[in-house]
Amino acid sequence: MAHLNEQPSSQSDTDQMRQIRKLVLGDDGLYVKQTLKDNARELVGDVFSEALHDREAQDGSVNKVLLPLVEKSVEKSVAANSERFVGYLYPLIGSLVRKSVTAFITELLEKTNTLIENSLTIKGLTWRFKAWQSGVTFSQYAASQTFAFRVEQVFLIHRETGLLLNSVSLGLELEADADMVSSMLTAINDFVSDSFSTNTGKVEQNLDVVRTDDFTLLLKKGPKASVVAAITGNMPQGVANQLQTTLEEIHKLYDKELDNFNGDSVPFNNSEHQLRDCLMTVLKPEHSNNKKPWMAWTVVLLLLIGSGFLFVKRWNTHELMNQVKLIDSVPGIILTSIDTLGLEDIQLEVLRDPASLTIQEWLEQHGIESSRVIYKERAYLSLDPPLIKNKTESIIARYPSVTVDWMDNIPNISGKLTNLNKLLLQGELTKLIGLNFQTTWLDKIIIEGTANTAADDPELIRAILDLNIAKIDRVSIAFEAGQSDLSEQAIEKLFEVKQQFNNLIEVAQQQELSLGLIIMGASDTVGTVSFNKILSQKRADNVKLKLQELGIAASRLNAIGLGVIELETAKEGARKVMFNVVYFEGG
Amino acid sequence: MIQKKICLLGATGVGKTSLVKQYVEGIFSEKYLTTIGVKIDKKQVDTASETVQLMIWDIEGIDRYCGFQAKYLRGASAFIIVTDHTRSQSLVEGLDILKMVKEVADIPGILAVNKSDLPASWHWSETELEEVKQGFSQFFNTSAKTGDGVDAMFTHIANELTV
Repeated sequence: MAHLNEQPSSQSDTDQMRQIRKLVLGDDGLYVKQTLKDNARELVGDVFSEALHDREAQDGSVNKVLLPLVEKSVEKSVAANSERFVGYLYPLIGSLVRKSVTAFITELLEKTNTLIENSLTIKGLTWRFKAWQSGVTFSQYAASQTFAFRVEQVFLIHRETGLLLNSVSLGLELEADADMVSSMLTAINDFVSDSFSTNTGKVEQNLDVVRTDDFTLLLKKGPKASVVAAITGNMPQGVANQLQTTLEEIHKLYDKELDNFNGDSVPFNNSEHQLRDCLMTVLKPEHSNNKKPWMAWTVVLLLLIGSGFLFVKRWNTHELMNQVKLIDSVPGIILTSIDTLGLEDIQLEVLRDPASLTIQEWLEQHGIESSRVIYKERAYLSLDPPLIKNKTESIIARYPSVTVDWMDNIPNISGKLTNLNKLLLQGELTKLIGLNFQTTWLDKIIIEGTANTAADDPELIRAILDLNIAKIDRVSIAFEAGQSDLSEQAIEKLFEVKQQFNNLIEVAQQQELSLGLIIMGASDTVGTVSFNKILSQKRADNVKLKLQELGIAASRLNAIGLGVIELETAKEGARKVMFNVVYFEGG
Repeated sequence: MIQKKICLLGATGVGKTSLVKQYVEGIFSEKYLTTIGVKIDKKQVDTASETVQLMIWDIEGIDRYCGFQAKYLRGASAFIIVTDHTRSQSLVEGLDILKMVKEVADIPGILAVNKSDLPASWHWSETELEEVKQGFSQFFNTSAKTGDGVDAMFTHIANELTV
């Protein structure tokens, strides 16, 4: 019975305990649950922040879960209250724009620098050539040379179907057709695992790394999804670790989505954040290039020396030119053009009055090497007052008994002269162009001797006259064969003839003689008689015209064509014009 | 956009590859197919409800001596067995393949009787064929040469898979 009693009692104990538990805790712990529920807010609230913090610190998953939620709610909020947001943002926009413009310009400058560096340097050109050789674009080649490694593209592939769930890339042009790549990779992996499966273990063989010349495909397989990274350069272990971490994270976060995958990849859109972590880039360390480009430096140095030398030469020449330019200030010299000739020499063209300083003299006076100055001069008559003064003085100097003082460009002439010499001096000064001669200037000259002195003896004067006439008679003007034009020398000669003749006129007038000049043209024996007659006349006429021009009155001139000079000895010398001065009593 | 993997199976020489070529513009070369035994193409199909991207796995011709790469079927949503109605043997092999597929996957299968531009010359009676069709979810007469029935078949699959 006891045994019987015991059993029911122990059963009743259990029942009682259940009863009590039910009374205290309620059905299925209802009271506890209710209490917990009532205080849930408080309980969770107490540890909420800490729990979030701890979990975030542990694996960073909080951020990844929250980010898409926050993004979505911000998006909604902005869409719903865009007016208010515009209000908030308006004051910020200005500075934002400024900042972004600054950033843009800075970036542009940097890019331009890099571009110039890569385009214009030997390295850049080599790269370009190599890129062309291997058939890739320059930017791709530059990237391959610049980066130690770079993850170009990352795929997230559904393990079972081989379908692409998501992919991210650096945005380079080599972005492959991600759908096809993921399917093909799955197929290749299937092929490999099937073809090379070992007989011993049941372990499935999987592709881990596929390597080509400049590309590496790194595959990380999880139970439900794979992550594949396309990498250029030398891949370090760090990438594989990152891929593994990302894969684990994705499995954790998208466990259900991976299980329920029906071909719709939308639920995996947010996995982009995780995948982006895998897009790693490491720059190649710049090769420290200690080799000095001495060839280039030598060339640069030579160029510098060369251009320095040229500069100094130029500078010297320039200085010399400035010095030579001063010649323009010399009375009776006009500089018409000056230029450098070659490296060191100077070429100049001047007009010079024959009475003025010669160029050679001037150069010597100024200590200039005359070999460096090449000059061409043409004669002209200068009216420069200092030169006129010189000319006047040189005329007066011929009369030693006369002196001259200058008072404001007016000569004060004094001394003693014979009547004839005074007349001669007066004649010479009158003819001096530029000197506005007035006879009163000679008033201070005292006349020497009397009327019966030798100087006033008509016979003596006549003898002097004859002597001077003989001088003119000795002049002859030569012509080219068959020509009647006057050469430059001819004109110079005629100028002298005119001066001498006009000097004589005055003396002759004093002696009451009338003076005339007979101009005789002649020709050689070449040609017909009539032609030569006309030619000789023409030569005489031309000379007459020129003398008229120069200032001899036409009434004193007579031109005659002699025709051929029939002399064996004449030959070429026969082509000329000769003069004969004649005088008659009672002029 | 939804993606679906479908597999194309059948005896050697029934025209599977030509069928895909007719349907999509091929991307990978034939070499690929003979090397690893599969060629993959993709094609987007607009169904009434949405756009489906079909990833078409064209699996190398299978004959009685050659093994069957079951792994390629993994994750497929549907499969097509292609036969050639000028060769009786192609259907026998097609049925063998069907059996093998059913062992590893429970997905809808479609029977494509290809080369419909040529007169039928196989020795299968209508009743026998009716019986064979029971094992498939759908049946199509196709011609890779003229394109008859090809679009219709793939569109049907796309519709079925998005229902």
